[in-house]
Amino acid sequence: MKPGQVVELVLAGIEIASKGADAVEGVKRWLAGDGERPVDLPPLPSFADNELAIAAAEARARKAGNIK
Amino acid sequence: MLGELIKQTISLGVAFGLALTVEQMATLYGFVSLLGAFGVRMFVSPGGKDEGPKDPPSTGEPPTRPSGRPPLIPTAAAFLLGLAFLAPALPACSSGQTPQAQAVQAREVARAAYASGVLALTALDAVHKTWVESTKEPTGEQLAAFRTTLGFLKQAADALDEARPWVENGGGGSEIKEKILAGLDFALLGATELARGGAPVKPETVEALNALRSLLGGAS
Repeated sequence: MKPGQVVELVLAGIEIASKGADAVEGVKRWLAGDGERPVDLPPLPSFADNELAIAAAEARARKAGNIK
Repeated sequence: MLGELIKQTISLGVAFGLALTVEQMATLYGFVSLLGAFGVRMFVSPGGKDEGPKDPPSTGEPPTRPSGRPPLIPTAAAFLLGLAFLAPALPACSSGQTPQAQAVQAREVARAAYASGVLALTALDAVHKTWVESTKEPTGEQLAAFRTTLGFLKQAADALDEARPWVENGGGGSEIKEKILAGLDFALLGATELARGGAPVKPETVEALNALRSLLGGAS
């Protein structure tokens, strides 16, 4: 598989909920061959929202009596 | 006079050798072996003094090989050995790139793989959050699955984060590739857990992670 095909797969597999990040959009354009190589690399996710989501899910599970 | 010439030749050879990389030395050895394999057979005259095994006494039958030339099998072995050393360097020769240009290209591939890996991980992060939020009344088992999956995704981010300074500033050698591969592996584990839990992971994301691994030379 050629690098270009890999990039196509990456872009096809990506549906990012928060599309506001300029760095992410810049990298996507660069990988798609539609823009200059960005100086900034895309930021790594912090997973803070995921922690909060799990805490909320745990509260729901407790309320439903699924866990003690 | 001859001794001085030999000493100078050895000094030059050592200095030249120190300036070469291992790959260049292997290439040089390959050329020398090939030249040796052909050259010896071409330039040793059939009528010259034979250093090799003596011809068998004449039995009235024609000799099987001309006397004075080295035997064919060691020559062929030298040829194959030379070719084996030369083979890894052939793509570099055919691409016409200097080692510096190859290093720059390798760094760009690492940068693109890193950026693609981060985007894929960001996509998995979003899928994980949606999965957790859409499970209204999770069981204890589901909560454990949420945490296990998040653990894999965090480990992926940690491995990629360790590669980031090298991707940005250079250096790191083969460790860049290893760190990015480790990040991709953890992301794949996270994707597998998401799919097992029924989260809507796009198949292309998993294919992309596998393809990135292959691109970086990781075993599948």
